[in-house]
Amino acid sequence: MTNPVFWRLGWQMARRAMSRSALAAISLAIATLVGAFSLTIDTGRPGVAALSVRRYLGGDILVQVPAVAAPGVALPAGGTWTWQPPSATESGPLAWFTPDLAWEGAPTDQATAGDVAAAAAVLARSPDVATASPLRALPAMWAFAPGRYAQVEVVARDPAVDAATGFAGQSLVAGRYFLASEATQPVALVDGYRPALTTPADLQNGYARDNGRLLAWSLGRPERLPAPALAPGAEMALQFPTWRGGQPDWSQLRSVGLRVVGDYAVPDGEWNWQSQTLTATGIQDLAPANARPDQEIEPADWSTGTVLVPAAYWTSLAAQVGWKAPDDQGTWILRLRDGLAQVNQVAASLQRALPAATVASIPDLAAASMDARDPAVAIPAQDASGAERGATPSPPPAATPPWIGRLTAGAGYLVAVLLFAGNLYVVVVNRRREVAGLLAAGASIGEIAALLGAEIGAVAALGAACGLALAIPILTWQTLSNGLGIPGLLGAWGRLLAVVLGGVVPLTACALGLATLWAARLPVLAVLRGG
Amino acid sequence: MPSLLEADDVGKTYVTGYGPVQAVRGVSLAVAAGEFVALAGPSGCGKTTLLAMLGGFERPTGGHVRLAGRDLAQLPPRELVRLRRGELGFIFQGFHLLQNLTALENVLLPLAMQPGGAQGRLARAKELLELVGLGARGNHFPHQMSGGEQQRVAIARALANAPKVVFGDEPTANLDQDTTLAVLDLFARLNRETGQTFVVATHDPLFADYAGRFIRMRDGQLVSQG
Repeated sequence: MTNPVFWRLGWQMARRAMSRSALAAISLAIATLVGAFSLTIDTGRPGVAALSVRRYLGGDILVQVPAVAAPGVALPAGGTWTWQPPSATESGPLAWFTPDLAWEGAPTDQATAGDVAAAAAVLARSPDVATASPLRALPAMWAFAPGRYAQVEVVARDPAVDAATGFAGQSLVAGRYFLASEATQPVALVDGYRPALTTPADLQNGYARDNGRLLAWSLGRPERLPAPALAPGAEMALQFPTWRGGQPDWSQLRSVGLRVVGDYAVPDGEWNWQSQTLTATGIQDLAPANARPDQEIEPADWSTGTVLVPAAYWTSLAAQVGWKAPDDQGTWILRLRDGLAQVNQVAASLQRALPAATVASIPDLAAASMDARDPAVAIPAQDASGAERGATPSPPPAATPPWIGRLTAGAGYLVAVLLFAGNLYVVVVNRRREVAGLLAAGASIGEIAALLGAEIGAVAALGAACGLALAIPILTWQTLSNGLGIPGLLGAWGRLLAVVLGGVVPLTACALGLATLWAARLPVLAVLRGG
Repeated sequence: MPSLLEADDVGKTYVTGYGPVQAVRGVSLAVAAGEFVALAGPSGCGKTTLLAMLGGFERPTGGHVRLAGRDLAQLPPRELVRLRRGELGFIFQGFHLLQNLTALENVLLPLAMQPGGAQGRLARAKELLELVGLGARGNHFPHQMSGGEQQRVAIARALANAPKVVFGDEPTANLDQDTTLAVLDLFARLNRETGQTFVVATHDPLFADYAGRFIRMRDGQLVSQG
């Protein structure tokens, strides 16, 4: 049992030597503040504290859900969409939009890490792509589905284009777009993708069975096609080359979506679909009944079918959110379109729609991201007024690559930790002779640890309290001014506290451990002689 | 008279980047209870190293140091701590008081490491301050006191637990001559009145007039045990 005198003594020393302790406390306050902000930037989770910085950095928000339980339902052709931004209500016919984006390659299923990286590099060269990173996908690939697929996380500069690059980078995209009749560009509300990836070479070698005229494509290679994927309600996409001079151009692929509307059994080892087969087996192609007039869909006899939206609740959410996901790990990317006031509502809708999921929306960050990057937000309002009709939207501001955020966060936190450690080092080393004197007077190492622990703990607590005192008003102001209310505020406070305690407590424990080790090795007489 | 403190062919060799350095070589010494011994010699002659071994801070690389018959090198760390708390006292050249504690609190500190009631400790600390002539300065911080006064507080602190042996490492090196004489008077008086054993390393020839035995060292060895 440590002598309580040393706890009291440590506290007394911290209190009386406040000029020395103050520096460490101030540095810890800064550490707390920077740490809180850094962590929120890095993880994207605690959220609000990092809003200002995040707005500066831009980027996407990921929300993890453990399971996706979205029932597939079809909207009838000729249906309408509604979007209700604060200033106006927009509606229009449902339409099918086929992105026309070149892609040179993407990882195949069972791709190696090198393939994935190479594909990412190809995608990253697209002028519309902000980042194409295989890094985030790779651990998931190894952990959850080794060898089954690989993916590249593609972040576009413009969300609408982002969806299009989703087509290119992830290949199998059941794209669902609402096309405002008066809009100058499609507003991408929802798009999903399937995890299988392919390359033009795969398509050409494996599926060009009809003289290159038509290709069918769905989840993975035919022999590994999971049967449930063809159950009624399942979705897929067909891809085919652009037709030029009577020849397929494999570098320019087009896609259309399909939904399985009837029972279908996969023929043994067969995946040689032709349009007649598809029709006969109950799969309807979904070529655009309401396609844009300037779109040319080849071949022409595919232009039948209906437009799909996969889930009823998406329709309501579509007014506020565009997303790209879910993937097999249940990662959703949410993008808020109409400001922070609707965030909780959106999150609640998602939660209702996905009761098995943990919906952790980061609305403020999403909004910050959208503010910076989503030109589509303004389009309907402009169209409603007619002022900008036909005008080409100005290019979106370039998004800051996410690694900058992570780098800044890491560097900020490191600097804060070094500040704290450096000042604590000064505090402890200044105690060198005092500690040596106490050891000479018969204090044990445990008692010295208690003394240093009390002093370090007092400094750390003071610093953390100062940091919280600085961070909480900012957090409160941001949370309330963004309309998140008291529940949002309590959540934000809790997250901040968790971040601070999660940083300060281990840091202080480490400092104390090191200080005790240092004390145990102190050459007492040499120190007391002035060495 | 039986020896309280014994050094038997004690040596200490440090391994440095330039090769081994013999700081103390073959020192044999016996100090009886109640003696006042001064270890004198020029700087670097090994006084402090010998003192460190006698006080159990350093283990000899050769020979044995015994306190009341116990070999210090064989004692476990916990026993060494207990020994420093109850049986040994140390006084240093630089006083090494805790600057954030008052004189009284500094003297109370070693008492607080021992069992006993708070009132008894306080009375003992005040008594010790009276003994060193600082009864009225108990609430003063070290920086409010002169060097001589600080050294007297350090002496009171070293005596707090009535140690069997009080070690001093150049305790007067930072003091002027008048203060040095006052401290030496105090040592002699305490040695006489309390019967405590003093072993003091010094290069101050004034100790020769106060110490019962004046031992000279040179190059890590004893050259005389006057």
